Amino acid sequence: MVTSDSTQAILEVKKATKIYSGVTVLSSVDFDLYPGEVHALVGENGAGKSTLSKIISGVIEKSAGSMKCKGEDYHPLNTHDAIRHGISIVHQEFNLIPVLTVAQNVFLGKEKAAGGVIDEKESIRKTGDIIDKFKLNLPIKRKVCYLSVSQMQLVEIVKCLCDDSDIIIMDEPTATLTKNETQQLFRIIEDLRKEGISIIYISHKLDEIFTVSQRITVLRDGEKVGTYRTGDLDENRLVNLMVGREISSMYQHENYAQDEVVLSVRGFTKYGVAENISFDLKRGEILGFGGLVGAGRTELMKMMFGEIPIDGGEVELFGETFTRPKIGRMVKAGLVYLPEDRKNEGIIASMKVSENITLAILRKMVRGLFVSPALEKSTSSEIVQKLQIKTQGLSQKVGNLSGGNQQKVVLARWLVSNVRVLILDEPTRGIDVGAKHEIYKLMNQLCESGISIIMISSEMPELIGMCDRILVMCEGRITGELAGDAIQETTIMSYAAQRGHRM
Amino acid sequence: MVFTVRGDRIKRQDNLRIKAVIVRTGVFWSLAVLMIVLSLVSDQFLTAGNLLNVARQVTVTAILGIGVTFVIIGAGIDLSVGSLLAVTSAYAAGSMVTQGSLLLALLIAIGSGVGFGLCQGVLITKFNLAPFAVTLGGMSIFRGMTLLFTGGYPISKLPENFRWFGSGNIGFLPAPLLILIIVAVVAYIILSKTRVGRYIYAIGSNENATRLSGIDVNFYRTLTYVIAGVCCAIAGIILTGRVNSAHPYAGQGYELNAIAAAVIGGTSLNGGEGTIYGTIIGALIIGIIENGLNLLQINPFYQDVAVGAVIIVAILVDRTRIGMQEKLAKVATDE
Repeated sequence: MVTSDSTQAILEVKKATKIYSGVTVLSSVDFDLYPGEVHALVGENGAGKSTLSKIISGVIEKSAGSMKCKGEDYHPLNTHDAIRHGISIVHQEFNLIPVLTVAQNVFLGKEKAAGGVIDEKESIRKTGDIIDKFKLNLPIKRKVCYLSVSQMQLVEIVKCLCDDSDIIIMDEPTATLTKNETQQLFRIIEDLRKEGISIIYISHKLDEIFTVSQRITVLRDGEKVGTYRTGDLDENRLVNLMVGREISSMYQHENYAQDEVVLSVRGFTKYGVAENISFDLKRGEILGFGGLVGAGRTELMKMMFGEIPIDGGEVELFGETFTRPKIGRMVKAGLVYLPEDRKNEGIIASMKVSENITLAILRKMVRGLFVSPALEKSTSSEIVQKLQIKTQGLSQKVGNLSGGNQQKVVLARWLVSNVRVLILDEPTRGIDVGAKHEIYKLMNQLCESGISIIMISSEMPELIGMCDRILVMCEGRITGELAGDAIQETTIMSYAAQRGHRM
Repeated sequence: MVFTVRGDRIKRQDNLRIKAVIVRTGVFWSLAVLMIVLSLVSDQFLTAGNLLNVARQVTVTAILGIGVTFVIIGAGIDLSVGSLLAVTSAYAAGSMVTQGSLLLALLIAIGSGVGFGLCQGVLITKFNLAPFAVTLGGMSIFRGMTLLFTGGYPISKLPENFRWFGSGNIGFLPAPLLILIIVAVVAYIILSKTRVGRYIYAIGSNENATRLSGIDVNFYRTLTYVIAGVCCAIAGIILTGRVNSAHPYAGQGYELNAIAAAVIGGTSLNGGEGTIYGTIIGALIIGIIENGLNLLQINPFYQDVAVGAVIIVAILVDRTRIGMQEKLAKVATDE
């Protein structure tokens, strides 16, 4: 369904510009969308994707430029106005009321009422029509809090369809979805497309963009790099367009694993979470953990780190055996954990960059009774330079940094300690391509220097590209181990879905 | 293009920063304005006698406020400080009257402050109970214990050396003011120069991240309640010395003034932010408003209204400040 010039664009954006009190964040960007088209919008963080989508969906007003929707001039005053024109947005964060049912959420704010009493049957009937039409797996009368994340997202999409939207903007729709759920979403997108609905698809995940889109518009630093037919690009070329420089290859991993076993987990059990887990980790090795969301990978790491108390088993770290791991002791022994949830478990947003970096080794920063500012400064500035953390200074609040730089700050916190085994839980989630590449490079350097890494990742290319060995988990058990050439996406997926089987 | 974008962004951040600094130091300016206005409308305000009187009165609120500041920065709350003041000073005064040893009386005050603070802290951290509920219970329990201990009557006829803490002087400086200065300096040093202070800020800002950095979060959170307990004991000694009796209803309602002082001074009720000098300025603002209304012979019932209004304004200012921070963050991350 490649666009032909004969059909008229459903949405035309000309020279859209956004200036926030003097700062140009979007500069003269053209964008168009045809009926039944999935048009991907890509770029690094700060490239202007969100700004453009917010202008189109009426969240913010453009500073200059013009838009046409279905041939008519289009100046949305707010999101409601945009919805009236048939344009809705599905945000990364859901706007759903957990205690209301699917139908009640879909009709929230537009309930049909007779004499002040809501006509629930009407809502259920109409919601049901849409669900049937697109064959969605969505229980109409169930409360949203009992739904899975992917189902919640479907509710958001149904909300858009119920508003008769023919343009849907999806902002990172797969960020919280598993591989299977993502596949389902793609099927639904395909169905929507066949119905003539157009989709603006914003994502960091390049493989998805190639699967789902017909055209790709690349933005960089608020300017448009170009619009391309998806078939005319490949991943490397797209990355280069986004970053504006050559990234020869994302992963250039060499195997630095040595024979010495540094960490060995035996019979680790927490009933209902992870059972009878045993594995070894070698010096300099990158050991990957694959599996679906909810397979128990994060929980296993937190058990090893002492965050979740265990029911049985032990972990041996550099010859020292722990039957009841405690965070403080594990850190001292050189095992550290970089959490998946950067905002709630990683950064301390209101504190300075330097304070975040020295948090775990503050004991060493003390001279006499007091923390030595000079020592803190020298320690943190060294690592800030080494990791190329982009800050306006060591006293900038970490909350004000970009996602990638925040992640680097959390990494820095551990790299200044005597880390010997580093657990990375989804280390590149939500950060842009450039920062990702730097983190991969850093991982290689660390392994070369003899540090061992355990990495949980839901991004297959990253897992396959970076790991020497991969353990796959499903329902709290290790279902497969892969190494070398045996590491294949299909094999990982089949182990990950091996419910009810034991190794 | 890239460079102009970045350059403009930095300029805009600088503008926002200047505004943020003005808002952040707003509490200081409000105190200054308040003092200027009062010195214009009342010729008694700016006399040494009156100012020392204000200082004497403010010390109790300020010291309680300092204790509460530690707790609130650690994302807790302590509603029990008024009752804790009463129980520690009743024990101290009782011991003073019966045993006659000043040292013992002081040790009992501080010791019971530490002990009761520890109990509350352990309940909150080990059993993961809401600080609001535990200290609300504590407020009632400690008051009841005071009434039980005193039989409902004030313990008075305290010796001169005990009274000195509330009413004595060193040169022209009232003893309570000197004690406040010492407490404030020590508290400031702990909060901004030591590991303990850094951890308390970190816990208040993001407890999970702090725990995952290998820090014993429960220990430091408990410590904030112990520090608050010690502050209650010190404030209690001063109050008892000043009025020459440990009254069973001493300190009733003081928890609100203490929390108000912290909040007016910019301590965020969400935790992670706050300063000692802010709390002292907050206590001064409350004290000076009360003093000013007295001097102007305005119905004293207006005092509560005024203090309440100041609290709400302070929280409003805090909101604005957070809004500015978020704006700053947005400009910094571009979108």
